Amino acid sequence: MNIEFQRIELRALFLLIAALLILPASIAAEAESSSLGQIVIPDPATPANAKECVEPTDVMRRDHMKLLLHQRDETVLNGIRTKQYSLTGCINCHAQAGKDGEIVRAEDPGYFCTECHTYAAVKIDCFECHSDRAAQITSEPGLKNLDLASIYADIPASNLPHGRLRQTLLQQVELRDER
Amino acid sequence: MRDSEKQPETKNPLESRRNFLRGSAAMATMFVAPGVMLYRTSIAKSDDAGADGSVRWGMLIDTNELTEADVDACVSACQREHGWRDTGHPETDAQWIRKVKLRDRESGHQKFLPMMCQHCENPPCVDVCPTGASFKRADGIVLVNKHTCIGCRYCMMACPYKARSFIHENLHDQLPVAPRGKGTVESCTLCVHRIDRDGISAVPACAEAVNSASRKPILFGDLNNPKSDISKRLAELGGMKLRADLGLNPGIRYQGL
Repeated sequence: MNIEFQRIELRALFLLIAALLILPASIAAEAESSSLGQIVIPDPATPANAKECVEPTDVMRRDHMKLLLHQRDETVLNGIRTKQYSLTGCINCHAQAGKDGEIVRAEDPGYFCTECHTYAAVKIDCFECHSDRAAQITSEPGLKNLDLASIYADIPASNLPHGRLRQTLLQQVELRDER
Repeated sequence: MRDSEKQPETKNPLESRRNFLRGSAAMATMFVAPGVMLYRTSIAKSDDAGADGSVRWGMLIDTNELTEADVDACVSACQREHGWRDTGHPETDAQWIRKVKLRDRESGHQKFLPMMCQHCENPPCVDVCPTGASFKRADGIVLVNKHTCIGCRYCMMACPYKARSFIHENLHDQLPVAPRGKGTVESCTLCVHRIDRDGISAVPACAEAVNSASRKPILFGDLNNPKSDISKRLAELGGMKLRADLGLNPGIRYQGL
Protein backbone atom coordinates (compact mmCIF):
# COMPACT_ATOMS: atom_id res chain seq x y z
CA MET A 1 0.00 0.00 0.00
CA ASN A 2 2.65 2.43 1.02
CA ILE A 3 4.90 1.40 -1.83
CA GLU A 4 2.02 1.69 -4.27
CA PHE A 5 1.20 5.21 -3.05
CA GLN A 6 4.85 6.17 -3.45
CA ARG A 7 4.80 4.82 -7.00
CA ILE A 8 1.70 6.87 -7.89
CA GLU A 9 3.23 9.94 -6.28
CA LEU A 10 6.41 9.41 -8.29
CA ARG A 11 4.44 9.04 -11.49
CA ALA A 12 2.61 12.30 -10.79
CA LEU A 13 5.90 14.01 -10.13
CA PHE A 14 7.25 12.79 -13.48
CA LEU A 15 4.17 14.01 -15.23
CA LEU A 16 4.47 17.38 -13.55
CA ILE A 17 8.13 17.72 -14.52
CA ALA A 18 7.37 16.63 -18.04
CA ALA A 19 4.53 19.12 -18.26
CA LEU A 20 6.75 21.90 -16.96
CA LEU A 21 9.39 21.02 -19.53
CA ILE A 22 7.03 20.81 -22.47
CA LEU A 23 4.83 23.80 -21.69
CA PRO A 24 7.30 26.67 -22.32
CA ALA A 25 8.52 24.98 -25.46
CA SER A 26 5.00 24.63 -26.79
CA ILE A 27 4.15 28.21 -25.85
CA ALA A 28 7.28 29.37 -27.64
CA ALA A 29 6.43 27.24 -30.63
CA GLU A 30 2.95 28.68 -30.68
CA ALA A 31 4.31 32.23 -30.46
CA GLU A 32 6.79 31.51 -33.22
CA SER A 33 4.23 30.11 -35.59
CA SER A 34 1.86 33.00 -35.00
CA SER A 35 4.56 35.62 -35.61
CA LEU A 36 5.70 33.74 -38.70
CA GLY A 37 2.16 33.92 -39.90
CA GLN A 38 2.25 37.71 -39.74
CA ILE A 39 5.51 38.15 -41.64
CA VAL A 40 5.04 38.42 -45.37
CA ILE A 41 8.08 36.99 -47.10
CA PRO A 42 8.84 39.33 -50.01
CA ASP A 43 8.17 38.06 -53.46
CA PRO A 44 9.26 40.84 -55.83
CA ALA A 45 7.27 41.30 -58.98
CA THR A 46 8.68 39.47 -61.97
CA PRO A 47 7.57 39.85 -65.56
CA ALA A 48 5.16 37.20 -66.71
CA ASN A 49 7.15 36.14 -69.76
CA ALA A 50 10.66 36.24 -68.23
CA LYS A 51 12.19 32.88 -67.32
CA GLU A 52 15.25 33.95 -65.38
CA CYS A 53 17.09 37.05 -64.18
CA VAL A 54 20.52 38.12 -65.42
CA GLU A 55 22.12 35.97 -62.69
CA PRO A 56 20.81 33.09 -60.54
CA THR A 57 18.46 34.12 -57.73
CA ASP A 58 20.96 33.54 -54.90
CA VAL A 59 23.57 35.70 -56.65
CA MET A 60 21.05 38.46 -57.29
CA ARG A 61 19.82 38.29 -53.70
CA ARG A 62 23.29 38.73 -52.23
CA ASP A 63 25.19 40.74 -54.82
CA HIS A 64 22.79 42.86 -56.88
CA MET A 65 24.04 46.00 -55.15
CA LYS A 66 27.66 45.22 -56.03
CA LEU A 67 26.73 44.61 -59.65
CA LEU A 68 24.76 47.86 -59.78
CA LEU A 69 27.49 49.88 -58.09
CA HIS A 70 30.12 48.64 -60.54
CA GLN A 71 27.87 49.26 -63.51
CA ARG A 72 27.02 52.73 -62.21
CA ASP A 73 30.62 53.92 -62.28
CA GLU A 74 31.36 52.24 -65.60
CA THR A 75 28.39 53.99 -67.17
CA VAL A 76 28.79 57.46 -65.70
CA LEU A 77 32.56 57.76 -65.93
CA ASN A 78 33.39 55.67 -68.99
CA GLY A 79 30.18 55.61 -71.02
CA ILE A 80 29.95 51.80 -70.96
CA ARG A 81 26.28 50.95 -71.19
CA THR A 82 26.04 47.18 -71.23
CA LYS A 83 22.51 46.06 -70.58
CA GLN A 84 23.11 43.08 -68.28
CA TYR A 85 23.54 44.90 -64.97
CA SER A 86 21.97 48.24 -65.82
CA LEU A 87 19.48 49.74 -63.40
CA THR A 88 17.22 50.64 -66.31
CA GLY A 89 17.31 46.98 -67.28
CA CYS A 90 16.06 45.98 -63.81
CA ILE A 91 13.29 48.55 -63.96
CA ASN A 92 12.22 47.75 -67.51
CA CYS A 93 11.64 44.15 -66.50
CA HIS A 94 10.58 44.23 -62.86
CA ALA A 95 8.56 47.45 -62.56
CA GLN A 96 5.27 45.76 -63.33
CA ALA A 97 1.85 47.26 -62.95
CA GLY A 98 -0.02 46.06 -59.86
CA LYS A 99 -2.98 43.68 -59.92
CA ASP A 100 -5.33 46.62 -60.35
CA GLY A 101 -3.39 47.74 -63.43
CA GLU A 102 -2.15 50.87 -61.68
CA ILE A 103 1.53 51.70 -62.00
CA VAL A 104 3.42 50.87 -58.81
CA ARG A 105 5.78 53.64 -57.69
CA ALA A 106 9.04 53.32 -55.75
CA GLU A 107 7.44 54.64 -52.55
CA ASP A 108 4.65 52.05 -52.70
CA PRO A 109 5.25 49.01 -50.47
CA GLY A 110 4.60 46.70 -53.42
CA TYR A 111 7.38 48.12 -55.62
CA PHE A 112 9.88 45.39 -56.49
CA CYS A 113 12.79 47.12 -54.72
CA THR A 114 10.82 48.49 -51.78
CA GLU A 115 9.26 45.15 -50.93
CA CYS A 116 12.57 43.47 -50.01
CA HIS A 117 14.24 46.59 -48.68
CA THR A 118 11.46 47.13 -46.18
CA TYR A 119 11.79 43.49 -45.11
CA ALA A 120 15.57 43.82 -44.75
CA ALA A 121 15.37 47.36 -43.28
CA VAL A 122 17.62 48.82 -45.99
CA LYS A 123 17.02 52.34 -47.19
CA ILE A 124 18.00 53.17 -50.76
CA ASP A 125 17.93 56.56 -52.45
CA CYS A 126 18.21 55.47 -56.10
CA PHE A 127 14.75 56.73 -56.94
CA GLU A 128 15.28 60.24 -55.64
CA CYS A 129 16.99 60.81 -58.98
CA HIS A 130 16.36 57.75 -61.14
CA SER A 131 13.07 57.03 -62.82
CA ASP A 132 11.18 54.17 -61.20
CA ARG A 133 9.23 53.40 -64.35
CA ALA A 134 10.26 52.15 -67.73
CA ALA A 135 8.15 54.60 -69.64
CA GLN A 136 7.28 58.03 -68.48
CA ILE A 137 3.83 59.20 -67.63
CA THR A 138 3.45 62.44 -65.74
CA SER A 139 1.74 61.89 -62.45
CA GLU A 140 0.59 65.43 -61.88
CA PRO A 141 -2.67 65.59 -59.97
CA GLY A 142 -5.64 65.31 -62.26
CA LEU A 143 -3.59 63.89 -65.08
CA LYS A 144 -3.78 60.27 -64.08
CA ASN A 145 -5.30 58.78 -67.19
CA LEU A 146 -3.29 60.60 -69.74
CA ASP A 147 -3.43 60.06 -73.44
CA LEU A 148 0.05 58.71 -74.03
CA ALA A 149 0.07 59.80 -77.64
CA SER A 150 -0.43 63.41 -76.59
CA ILE A 151 2.58 63.26 -74.26
CA TYR A 152 4.74 61.88 -77.01
CA ALA A 153 3.07 64.00 -79.65
CA ASP A 154 6.25 65.66 -80.93
CA ILE A 155 8.59 62.74 -80.44
CA PRO A 156 9.42 60.62 -83.48
CA ALA A 157 8.73 56.91 -83.12
CA SER A 158 12.45 56.12 -83.15
CA ASN A 159 12.98 58.12 -79.96
CA LEU A 160 10.23 56.60 -77.85
CA PRO A 161 11.37 55.30 -74.48
CA HIS A 162 12.35 51.67 -74.38
CA GLY A 163 10.68 49.16 -72.16
CA ARG A 164 7.36 47.98 -71.00
CA LEU A 165 5.09 50.59 -72.57
CA ARG A 166 6.97 50.88 -75.82
CA GLN A 167 4.58 48.66 -77.74
CA THR A 168 1.56 50.56 -76.48
CA LEU A 169 3.21 53.83 -77.36
CA LEU A 170 4.20 52.62 -80.80
CA GLN A 171 0.64 51.61 -81.53
CA GLN A 172 -0.67 54.97 -80.37
CA VAL A 173 1.96 56.84 -82.36
CA GLU A 174 1.10 54.81 -85.45
CA LEU A 175 -2.53 55.75 -84.95
CA ARG A 176 -1.48 59.38 -84.57
CA ASP A 177 0.58 59.31 -87.75
CA GLU A 178 -2.29 57.76 -89.68
CA ARG A 179 -4.63 60.52 -88.66
CA MET B 1 43.47 47.16 -107.10
CA ARG B 2 45.16 43.80 -106.53
CA ASP B 3 47.09 42.07 -109.27
CA SER B 4 45.23 38.81 -108.84
CA GLU B 5 42.07 40.49 -110.09
CA LYS B 6 43.74 41.52 -113.35
CA GLN B 7 45.78 38.38 -114.03
CA PRO B 8 44.31 35.08 -115.18
CA GLU B 9 44.65 32.09 -112.86
CA THR B 10 48.12 30.55 -113.12
CA LYS B 11 49.26 27.05 -112.27
CA ASN B 12 52.84 28.01 -111.46
CA PRO B 13 53.16 27.40 -107.70
CA LEU B 14 55.78 30.14 -107.28
CA GLU B 15 53.60 32.71 -108.96
CA SER B 16 50.49 31.82 -106.99
CA ARG B 17 52.61 32.07 -103.84
CA ARG B 18 53.72 35.53 -104.93
CA ASN B 19 50.13 36.57 -105.50
CA PHE B 20 49.21 35.23 -102.11
CA LEU B 21 51.93 37.28 -100.45
CA ARG B 22 50.87 40.41 -102.31
CA GLY B 23 47.30 39.83 -101.27
CA SER B 24 48.20 39.37 -97.63
CA ALA B 25 50.32 42.54 -97.66
CA ALA B 26 47.31 44.42 -98.98
CA MET B 27 45.20 42.91 -96.24
CA ALA B 28 47.76 43.94 -93.63
CA THR B 29 47.50 47.56 -94.67
CA MET B 30 43.77 47.45 -94.09
CA PHE B 31 43.73 45.69 -90.73
CA VAL B 32 46.35 46.68 -88.16
CA ALA B 33 45.11 44.23 -85.59
CA PRO B 34 41.90 42.26 -85.20
CA GLY B 35 39.10 44.75 -84.63
CA VAL B 36 41.33 47.81 -85.15
CA MET B 37 41.03 49.56 -88.47
CA LEU B 38 42.87 52.55 -89.81
CA TYR B 39 39.69 54.38 -90.57
CA ARG B 40 36.38 54.63 -88.82
CA THR B 41 33.52 52.74 -90.42
CA SER B 42 31.12 51.84 -87.64
CA ILE B 43 28.01 53.96 -87.33
CA ALA B 44 26.34 52.71 -84.17
CA LYS B 45 28.38 52.11 -81.04
CA SER B 46 28.30 48.82 -79.19
CA ASP B 47 27.11 48.90 -75.58
CA ASP B 48 30.38 47.70 -74.10
CA ALA B 49 32.52 50.23 -75.97
CA GLY B 50 33.19 53.13 -73.64
CA ALA B 51 33.82 56.77 -74.44
CA ASP B 52 36.33 56.95 -77.28
CA GLY B 53 39.46 58.89 -76.29
CA SER B 54 40.41 59.57 -79.91
CA VAL B 55 37.24 61.61 -80.40
CA ARG B 56 36.48 65.11 -79.22
CA TRP B 57 32.82 65.97 -79.56
CA GLY B 58 32.00 69.52 -80.51
CA MET B 59 29.30 71.71 -81.91
CA LEU B 60 29.33 74.53 -84.40
CA ILE B 61 26.44 76.96 -84.09
CA ASP B 62 25.77 79.33 -86.97
CA THR B 63 24.01 82.29 -85.37
CA ASN B 64 23.34 83.87 -88.77
CA GLU B 65 21.04 80.97 -89.54
CA LEU B 66 19.32 80.76 -86.15
CA THR B 67 16.12 82.72 -85.59
CA GLU B 68 14.65 83.42 -82.16
CA ALA B 69 12.12 80.64 -82.77
CA ASP B 70 14.97 78.25 -83.55
CA VAL B 71 16.67 79.00 -80.25
CA ASP B 72 13.36 78.54 -78.43
CA ALA B 73 12.99 75.20 -80.20
CA CYS B 74 16.46 74.20 -78.97
CA VAL B 75 15.51 75.01 -75.39
CA SER B 76 12.19 73.17 -75.48
CA ALA B 77 13.73 70.16 -77.23
CA CYS B 78 16.29 69.94 -74.42
CA GLN B 79 13.56 70.25 -71.80
CA ARG B 80 11.58 67.47 -73.42
CA GLU B 81 14.61 65.25 -73.86
CA HIS B 82 15.81 65.56 -70.26
CA GLY B 83 12.65 66.36 -68.37
CA TRP B 84 13.52 69.75 -66.90
CA ARG B 85 11.19 72.70 -67.02
CA ASP B 86 10.73 76.29 -66.00
CA THR B 87 8.78 76.74 -62.79
CA GLY B 88 8.60 80.53 -62.93
CA HIS B 89 11.62 81.06 -60.67
CA PRO B 90 14.32 82.14 -63.11
CA GLU B 91 16.93 82.56 -60.37
CA THR B 92 16.81 78.93 -59.29
CA ASP B 93 15.30 77.07 -62.27
CA ALA B 94 17.29 74.47 -64.13
CA GLN B 95 19.21 75.88 -67.07
CA TRP B 96 20.75 73.20 -69.20
CA ILE B 97 20.44 75.53 -72.18
CA ARG B 98 19.19 79.09 -72.40
CA LYS B 99 18.47 81.76 -74.96
CA VAL B 100 20.86 84.69 -75.08
CA LYS B 101 19.92 87.88 -76.92
CA LEU B 102 22.64 90.13 -78.33
CA ARG B 103 21.50 93.59 -79.33
CA ASP B 104 23.54 96.27 -81.01
CA ARG B 105 22.38 99.54 -79.43
CA GLU B 106 23.31 101.68 -82.40
CA SER B 107 21.62 99.76 -85.16
CA GLY B 108 19.12 97.83 -83.06
CA HIS B 109 20.24 94.62 -84.74
CA GLN B 110 19.43 91.53 -82.68
CA LYS B 111 20.90 88.09 -82.59
CA PHE B 112 19.91 85.02 -80.62
CA LEU B 113 22.10 82.17 -79.61
CA PRO B 114 21.72 79.07 -77.48
CA MET B 115 24.06 79.03 -74.49
CA MET B 116 24.96 75.89 -72.61
CA CYS B 117 27.94 74.02 -71.23
CA GLN B 118 30.79 74.74 -73.63
CA HIS B 119 32.53 71.41 -72.89
CA CYS B 120 35.95 73.00 -72.39
CA GLU B 121 39.20 71.21 -72.99
CA ASN B 122 40.48 72.76 -69.73
CA PRO B 123 37.29 73.00 -67.68
CA PRO B 124 37.51 75.23 -64.60
CA CYS B 125 34.54 73.38 -63.06
CA VAL B 126 36.67 70.22 -62.95
CA ASP B 127 39.60 72.11 -61.37
CA VAL B 128 37.55 73.37 -58.43
CA CYS B 129 35.43 70.30 -57.65
CA PRO B 130 36.39 69.01 -54.18
CA THR B 131 35.08 65.47 -54.74
CA GLY B 132 35.97 64.81 -58.36
CA ALA B 133 32.30 64.70 -59.26
CA SER B 134 32.78 67.27 -62.00
CA PHE B 135 34.79 65.47 -64.63
CA LYS B 136 35.71 65.35 -68.29
CA ARG B 137 35.06 62.13 -70.15
CA ALA B 138 37.62 60.61 -72.51
CA ASP B 139 35.71 61.98 -75.50
CA GLY B 140 35.74 65.54 -74.16
CA ILE B 141 32.23 65.73 -72.69
CA VAL B 142 32.16 67.54 -69.34
CA LEU B 143 29.72 65.95 -66.90
CA VAL B 144 28.65 65.86 -63.25
CA ASN B 145 28.78 62.49 -61.53
CA LYS B 146 25.75 63.01 -59.34
CA HIS B 147 26.60 60.00 -57.21
CA THR B 148 29.59 61.89 -55.80
CA CYS B 149 28.37 65.50 -56.13
CA ILE B 150 27.88 67.04 -52.69
CA GLY B 151 26.14 70.17 -53.97
CA CYS B 152 28.79 72.68 -52.91
CA ARG B 153 28.31 74.68 -56.14
CA TYR B 154 31.95 75.67 -56.55
CA CYS B 155 31.68 74.62 -60.21
CA MET B 156 28.82 77.06 -60.71
CA MET B 157 31.04 79.84 -59.40
CA ALA B 158 33.97 78.74 -61.55
CA CYS B 159 32.10 78.45 -64.85
CA PRO B 160 32.48 81.66 -66.90
CA TYR B 161 29.49 80.71 -69.06
CA LYS B 162 27.00 80.27 -66.16
CA ALA B 163 26.24 76.90 -67.67
CA ARG B 164 25.43 74.99 -64.51
CA SER B 165 22.43 75.06 -62.23
CA PHE B 166 21.58 73.55 -58.86
CA ILE B 167 18.49 71.53 -58.01
CA HIS B 168 16.88 73.13 -54.99
CA GLU B 169 13.79 71.02 -54.51
CA ASN B 170 12.65 67.42 -54.59
CA LEU B 171 11.86 66.21 -58.07
CA HIS B 172 9.47 63.56 -59.29
CA ASP B 173 9.01 61.76 -62.57
CA GLN B 174 12.49 62.18 -63.93
CA LEU B 175 13.19 60.60 -67.27
CA PRO B 176 15.14 57.34 -67.48
CA VAL B 177 17.87 58.92 -69.65
CA ALA B 178 18.38 61.90 -67.34
CA PRO B 179 18.50 61.09 -63.61
CA ARG B 180 18.28 64.37 -61.68
CA GLY B 181 17.90 64.98 -57.98
CA LYS B 182 17.85 67.57 -55.23
CA GLY B 183 21.21 68.73 -53.92
CA THR B 184 23.22 68.15 -57.06
CA VAL B 185 24.49 70.38 -59.84
CA GLU B 186 23.59 69.71 -63.45
CA SER B 187 24.28 71.03 -66.93
CA CYS B 188 24.20 70.15 -70.61
CA THR B 189 25.47 66.61 -71.20
CA LEU B 190 25.76 67.03 -74.98
CA CYS B 191 23.02 64.34 -75.02
CA VAL B 192 25.55 61.78 -73.83
CA HIS B 193 22.91 59.04 -73.82
CA ARG B 194 22.39 59.54 -77.54
CA ILE B 195 26.14 59.55 -78.20
CA ASP B 196 26.57 56.33 -76.24
CA ARG B 197 23.72 54.78 -78.21
CA ASP B 198 24.37 56.05 -81.73
CA GLY B 199 28.12 56.75 -81.88
CA ILE B 200 29.19 59.06 -84.68
CA SER B 201 25.69 59.22 -86.13
CA ALA B 202 24.34 60.77 -82.90
CA VAL B 203 22.66 64.18 -82.99
CA PRO B 204 21.90 66.09 -79.77
CA ALA B 205 18.27 67.03 -79.19
CA CYS B 206 18.84 70.77 -79.74
CA ALA B 207 20.52 70.19 -83.10
CA GLU B 208 17.83 67.74 -84.11
CA ALA B 209 15.17 70.35 -83.34
CA VAL B 210 16.53 72.97 -85.74
CA ASN B 211 18.33 70.97 -88.42
CA SER B 212 16.56 69.77 -91.53
CA ALA B 213 17.57 68.34 -94.88
CA SER B 214 17.91 71.83 -96.36
CA ARG B 215 19.67 73.66 -93.52
CA LYS B 216 21.96 72.74 -90.66
CA PRO B 217 22.51 75.72 -88.36
CA ILE B 218 23.91 73.43 -85.62
CA LEU B 219 26.60 71.00 -86.71
CA PHE B 220 27.62 68.27 -84.30
CA GLY B 221 30.64 66.05 -84.74
CA ASP B 222 34.20 65.06 -83.99
CA LEU B 223 36.61 67.99 -83.77
CA ASN B 224 39.60 65.62 -83.87
CA ASN B 225 38.65 64.10 -87.22
CA PRO B 226 39.65 66.48 -90.04
CA LYS B 227 37.18 64.72 -92.38
CA SER B 228 34.10 65.32 -90.24
CA ASP B 229 31.54 67.88 -91.42
CA ILE B 230 32.18 70.13 -88.44
CA SER B 231 35.96 70.12 -88.94
CA LYS B 232 35.57 70.87 -92.64
CA ARG B 233 33.24 73.78 -91.97
CA LEU B 234 35.53 75.11 -89.23
CA ALA B 235 38.49 74.87 -91.61
CA GLU B 236 36.56 76.69 -94.32
CA LEU B 237 34.72 79.38 -92.40
CA GLY B 238 36.28 79.41 -88.95
CA GLY B 239 34.45 79.43 -85.64
CA MET B 240 34.54 81.65 -82.61
CA LYS B 241 35.28 80.37 -79.11
CA LEU B 242 33.43 82.36 -76.48
CA ARG B 243 35.85 84.03 -74.07
CA ALA B 244 38.80 82.59 -75.99
CA ASP B 245 41.02 84.81 -73.83
CA LEU B 246 40.49 82.43 -70.91
CA GLY B 247 42.29 79.63 -72.74
CA LEU B 248 39.65 77.03 -71.94
CA ASN B 249 39.29 75.88 -75.56
CA PRO B 250 35.56 75.15 -75.54
CA GLY B 251 34.15 72.42 -77.79
CA ILE B 252 31.16 74.58 -78.70
CA ARG B 253 32.00 77.09 -81.43
CA TYR B 254 29.91 79.93 -82.83
CA GLN B 255 29.76 81.58 -86.22
CA GLY B 256 28.41 85.03 -87.02
CA LEU B 257 29.07 86.75 -83.72
